[in-house]
Amino acid sequence: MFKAKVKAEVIKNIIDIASPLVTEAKFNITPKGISLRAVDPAHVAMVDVDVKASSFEEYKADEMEMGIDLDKLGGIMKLANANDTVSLEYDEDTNKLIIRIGNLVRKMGLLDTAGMPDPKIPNLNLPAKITIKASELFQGVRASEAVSDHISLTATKDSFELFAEGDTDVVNLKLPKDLLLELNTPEKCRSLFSIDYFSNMVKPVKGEEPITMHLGNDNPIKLEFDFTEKNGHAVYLLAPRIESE
Amino acid sequence: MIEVAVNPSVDDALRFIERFHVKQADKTLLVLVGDCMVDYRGRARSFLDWGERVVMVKQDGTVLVHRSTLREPVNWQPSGSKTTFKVEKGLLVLRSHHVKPAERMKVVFREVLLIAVSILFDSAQLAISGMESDMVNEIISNPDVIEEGCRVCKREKHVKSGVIDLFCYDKNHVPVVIEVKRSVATISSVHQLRVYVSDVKKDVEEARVRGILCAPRVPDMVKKLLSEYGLEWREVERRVVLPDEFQKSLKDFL
Repeated sequence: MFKAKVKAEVIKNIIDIASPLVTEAKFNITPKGISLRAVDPAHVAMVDVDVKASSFEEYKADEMEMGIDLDKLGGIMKLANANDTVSLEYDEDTNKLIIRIGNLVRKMGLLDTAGMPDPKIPNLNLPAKITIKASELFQGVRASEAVSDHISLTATKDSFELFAEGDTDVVNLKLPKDLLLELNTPEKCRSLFSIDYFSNMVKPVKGEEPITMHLGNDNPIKLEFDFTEKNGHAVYLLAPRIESE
Repeated sequence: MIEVAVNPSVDDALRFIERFHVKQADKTLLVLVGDCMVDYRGRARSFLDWGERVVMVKQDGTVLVHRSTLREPVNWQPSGSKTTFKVEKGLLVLRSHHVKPAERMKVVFREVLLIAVSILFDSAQLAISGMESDMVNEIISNPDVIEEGCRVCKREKHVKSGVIDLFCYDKNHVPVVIEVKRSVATISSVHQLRVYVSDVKKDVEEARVRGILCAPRVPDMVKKLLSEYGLEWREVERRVVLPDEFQKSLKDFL
């Protein structure tokens, strides 16, 4: 059983967070809330999203799984304004999700979850923790996108640095500790990442909201943030690139 | 080398094409720009009235007719087609003939604006990265993903109702028809496979023929229908190539 009412924005958020990596996903539904974990087909990045039942206006659910085509659900959610309340109900007889937006009823066929894997979370050694305003990180990422296809992120005891170098141009964003919300590292940590992936992970976070990064040396980055008034939590993992020289 | 004729008369156009292209058609690329009409008969029948277009005859016999917009050619002939040129009733006529499947295309020019003939050397391989590798090629290079002892006999085998993706034999020399789907297997792919299997059965006189539907994901409903028809399925994982050798995978950190 699954029956819920929620602001359209919450569902839109989940789709914005997961859809850069996967086109379909398995939603795990429990009485406590909804979560999904997925990796992109190349296994370069992973997303883990959790939305507590408290972010719903109404929420009643047993444990179940729903296989959802994210493009399709995203299309349906475009029919609603961010503040509209959307009602969701699982219809067991037809294996469809019934979505009500105002007087509009949309029944969406669900995907078979049998083949959808449960990705394993890798073992990570990420000593550095950096918390930064999304807008600031995004500015650096946008500047880097224009010059290169990868960026290096470096954390030292007193600063966080983003660096991208293309054939002719260079981007450097260096933020001293006092401009960051948090910076904590016992040692210098540096890893290199693909901008395509990284920028997709920063985009879902709005303006002044904080993003926390956990960084290691040539290790994946763990990037996490809250959404919908801290009732939702998203974690991304992104595998590093190795230096080409 | 490149030879160009601008605004030639129809007779000059034919002479030019015969001199520079026809003698070594398999080595030269011909581009014709002009006002033409296209008539095609083969898998279907089509007729395209007068209009200004670009016609290209490639070194492998491929013929493409492009209009002034859109990515795809409006008419085309596959690789291996034979092209001939003639002047008939004051018009330049290009005929392209492909044997199997039988396809004929006739392009009639009433005005030629430009002809260019060139020999292009191009031996580079196209490198596409970060893509799903082609599932059919994957199976051909490793037929054991279907089952042990499976032997691929022909790719794209033509049968009465269409084209079989892969025609194989299993270790007991039973013919196996394999239909490959890139994403989710659907009910209609079951019917497609069923028709191909029955086509092959006629070809080999009531012998046992197996049919296997191969897809990254086969939903339960499709599995059920397949078993009802005595067909099989394989869930073949989509292998994805990493963007490049420098990108690590999360699997490296498990």
